[in-house]
Amino acid sequence: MSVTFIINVLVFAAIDLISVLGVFALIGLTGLFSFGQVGFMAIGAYISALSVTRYNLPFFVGVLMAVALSVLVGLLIGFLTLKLRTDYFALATFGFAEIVKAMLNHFDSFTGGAMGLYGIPVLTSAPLVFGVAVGAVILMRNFKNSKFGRDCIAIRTDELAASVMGIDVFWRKMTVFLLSAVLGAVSGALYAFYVTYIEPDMFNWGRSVELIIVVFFGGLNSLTGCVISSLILSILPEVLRFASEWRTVLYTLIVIVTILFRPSGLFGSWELSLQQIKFFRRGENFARSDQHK
Amino acid sequence: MLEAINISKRFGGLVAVDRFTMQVPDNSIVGIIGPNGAGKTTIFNMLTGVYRPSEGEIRFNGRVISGFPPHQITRLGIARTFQNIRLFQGMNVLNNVRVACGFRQQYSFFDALVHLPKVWASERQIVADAEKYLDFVGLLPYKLKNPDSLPYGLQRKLEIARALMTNPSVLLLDEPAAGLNPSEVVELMNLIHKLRKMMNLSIVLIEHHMEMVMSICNYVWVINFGKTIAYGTPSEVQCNPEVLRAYMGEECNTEMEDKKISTKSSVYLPEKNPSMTFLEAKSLNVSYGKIHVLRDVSIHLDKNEIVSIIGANGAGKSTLINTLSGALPYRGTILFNGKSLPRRASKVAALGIIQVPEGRRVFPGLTVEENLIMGGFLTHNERELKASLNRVYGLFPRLHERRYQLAGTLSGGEQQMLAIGRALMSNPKVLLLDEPSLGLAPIMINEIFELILTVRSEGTTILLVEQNAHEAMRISDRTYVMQTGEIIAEGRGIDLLNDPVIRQAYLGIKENDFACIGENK
Amino acid sequence: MLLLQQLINGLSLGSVYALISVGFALIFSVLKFSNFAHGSVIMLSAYFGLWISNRFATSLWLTLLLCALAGGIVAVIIEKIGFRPIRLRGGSTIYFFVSSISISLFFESFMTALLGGQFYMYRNFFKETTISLGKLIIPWTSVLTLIVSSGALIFLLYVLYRTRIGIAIRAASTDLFTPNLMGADVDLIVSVTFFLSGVLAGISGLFLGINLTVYPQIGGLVIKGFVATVIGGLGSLSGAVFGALLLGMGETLITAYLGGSVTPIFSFSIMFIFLLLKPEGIAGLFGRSKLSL
Repeated sequence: MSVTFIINVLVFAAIDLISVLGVFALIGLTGLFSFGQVGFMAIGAYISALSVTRYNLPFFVGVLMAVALSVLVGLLIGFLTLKLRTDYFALATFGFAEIVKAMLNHFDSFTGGAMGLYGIPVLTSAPLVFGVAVGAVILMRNFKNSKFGRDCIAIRTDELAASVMGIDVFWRKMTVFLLSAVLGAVSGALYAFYVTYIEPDMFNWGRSVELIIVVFFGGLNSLTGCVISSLILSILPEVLRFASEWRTVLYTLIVIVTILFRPSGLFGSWELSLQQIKFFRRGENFARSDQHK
Repeated sequence: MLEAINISKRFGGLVAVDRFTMQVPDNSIVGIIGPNGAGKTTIFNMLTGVYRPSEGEIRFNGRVISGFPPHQITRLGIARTFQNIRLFQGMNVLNNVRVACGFRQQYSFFDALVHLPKVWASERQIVADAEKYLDFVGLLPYKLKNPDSLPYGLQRKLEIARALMTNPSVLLLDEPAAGLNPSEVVELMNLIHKLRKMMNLSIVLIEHHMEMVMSICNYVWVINFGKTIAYGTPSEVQCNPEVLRAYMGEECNTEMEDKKISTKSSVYLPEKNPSMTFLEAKSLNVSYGKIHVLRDVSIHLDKNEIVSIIGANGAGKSTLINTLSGALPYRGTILFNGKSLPRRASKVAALGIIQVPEGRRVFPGLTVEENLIMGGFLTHNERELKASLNRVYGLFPRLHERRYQLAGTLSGGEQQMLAIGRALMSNPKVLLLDEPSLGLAPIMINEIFELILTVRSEGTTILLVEQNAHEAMRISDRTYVMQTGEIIAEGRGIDLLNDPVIRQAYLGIKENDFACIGENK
Repeated sequence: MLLLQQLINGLSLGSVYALISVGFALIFSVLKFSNFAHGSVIMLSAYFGLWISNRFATSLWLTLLLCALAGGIVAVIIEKIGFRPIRLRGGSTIYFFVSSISISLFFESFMTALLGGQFYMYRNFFKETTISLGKLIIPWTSVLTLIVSSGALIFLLYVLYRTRIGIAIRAASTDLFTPNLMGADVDLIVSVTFFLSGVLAGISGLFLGINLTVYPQIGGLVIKGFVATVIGGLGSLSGAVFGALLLGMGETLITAYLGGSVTPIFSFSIMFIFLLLKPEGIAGLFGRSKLSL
């Protein structure tokens, strides 16, 4: 196992993590069950790749364009779907992702269609990806520990009670939806410039399901759990030399077992906090308390 | 001051609230009472923006607020709690309270992502405020616990603390005393007084707990079928005959009296005869989560008796029926003919104990005949099924006329007949009826009760849960009275109706309240 | 003439979609969630039929019968393991949904890992593959599909309207608890519902396998069934049939005149529009819902 191989695995894990964080905010914190994340990842990947390969724009401009478009699309889709009830919302976002994929396939003169887009320069480096991933985790932690995060959890638990507590439910949902879209787009862009070849079929609904699985497994309420779960489920199959075909089998089996026996996820609501690390280092006992600041 | 001016709410053809008008003066405590389904929570929902009134206006301090969304109404200063507690279970007590002042925290999304110093400051401030309120209601020691680990009474307090965090000038409490034991109710009453005084609040209360309403409210509004039937001070309302009638039911038909006496005398049993005990429940205890709904309830039914269970809303009558049907988990024993009942609803039904559920619950998408066929689901062969159908059609000619009609299009009375007919399809040994008169016109109620007598005369044993105490006790051999999950009285005949115990159970009128002596209903 | 040809093809495709969508709608109306595991039943039945017909050289009708039975049994097993525990502990709709998606993905990836991405073909059941009617050339399979689908739907109608268990299923779709009070055990009703939907899935699996060859992603066609039920009105059986026929014909025509890459855009956009504007679907136009006809 060479160093290059390890770094490779870690880069993919970090890219996945960024997108998972978006799904975490959406499904875990707010209870908005969306299948649309791959749609935003596709937008991020293609827009940034095309900006650079076709229009010779600098890398960061390309990524910025991808983010901007994903925000616009997110606003549009959000306005149309956020007022739907849970299962209709899931279906609508599913439809959105499929439409994106179908359009990428169809407008092949522009996107390369089903044959894909080749020759994307390698502009994503490991330090960049790690930096962005760490940044995203910090942003998400700040989000969760602010009034926004609390509002989202309230909305997830009981939308009616949340609105009666003064929360503007629609706009909170829109904020999270856009946040998650941006994270998806960034993840997609970083991915495109790492693997140098993208095709629409990479952004299929199976991928959305995998992301959801990671969040469920880690625990809907736990950011720490989400991060750990994402790392484990990205790295483990590589480390154990699983044939990649069995990776999905493993994922789905995990989630089925989790739902049946431990629906709150592996980590439930537990969060790693700085205080706990301090105590741990001093060797004192610390009580596992519920989520606090 | 909060005002509702002629507000109504219609759902399709159903009028849930009909031109309701109420004023809540500053710093007062106002109560809204009425039987189940009267429309009280709908009124609250309109006041808090959950529903938009179909007509009428709501004004708050002169400003029209009807039709505003809930979050806006809360930000204007009207807060509420819910009938079934709606705490945020994914977060601890402190955070539950913190959510309520989110809208007052002044930082933006981008500030939050980066956690600028002003975010830290705001969060610290909010924690301090939240702890202050928690302390006020006595919940500070529990601040890091999850709400579902708290006893029910404390969860209720938490709901109130959370509502207080939104800095309201009007607080709406929806059945705050539901599920509380007597000492918790006293604590609650004290808290409400404290709140009104120290925070200059107006409080509007929906309650079934009559003692509490009558002792703390300045004014009371009484609602039935969506309409106001009385309002005024508590003592004015307590003696209002309309109010008594709304709660305890009407005397429907004096002819019934004679008929009833004759049937009664043929099965009059002077005392409990163990060999005749058919269905017996011993020390039943049922809880919904943390709420202890039935406390040590023991009743028995003798063969071919008609026994009724009366009591105010929230007393646990329906829970008792559902427990007997095997629909709820319970501690205690239920014996049928000496043998323990299975703890599975379909098996209990298979033994011949059939329930006519509250609200009838006919299958609206099925025809009348298909509903009846469902009743006869366990019949062995087609021939027997046909025979049962004919028998039921014989009892209910109107159902026969409408047999291909969709059950959802029948009138309330016809649906009740269908529900009873459906239950009779399997030749039940014991028939459990949950509030058969609910929502029916007096003529229909007559018919239904007459029918119940007929069914008994064919050999069935009947247990009747009713809010209409009059009618129930007319036809029953024995009556149990329930209050907050316990049996508080058992007796025979109509004398029970004049017993002060019953009146207290229903209307919170205490024995030494002399204002209404002279009434003999 | 070409148009008539296309319409017949579309009708045939629509009839297969109808089998899928009706099975899907049956579960939705009783348990109120979108059962994606339906796709797995379809796929597994297709493989089963393949194995049986190749190994034992069974006739078409026998294979059909066995596929139907196998589908029913597999569906009941999936319910027992993947959905009943959730229902018994009162879990929310989302858990059913996630469980069904995971099960679907589990089987798909399992079969892919086990058998590789090969496409398998059914042997020819008939000597001639088409019939000619004047200028029309109609594949035998299309005719057969139409006939068998109609037959299966009529059979389903018979069960739902003339048998006690069928009446119980329709009762349960409006009220999942009350049938217990009549001695009709709801667990049994749910199992029978799944059996019936599994039978339909089994039949459609066989036909899809014959028409499209057998591969693990074939279960993904449940999406079509799902789009059809949205168009027709979630929970309405006649709506499901209607929606399926519309979808089948629409897709065939669009593929013929605009090309295959437009077709998914068309299908999902239609679904999206219906979800947003008229979630009760076409059935809603007639004021019907809930397993009505």
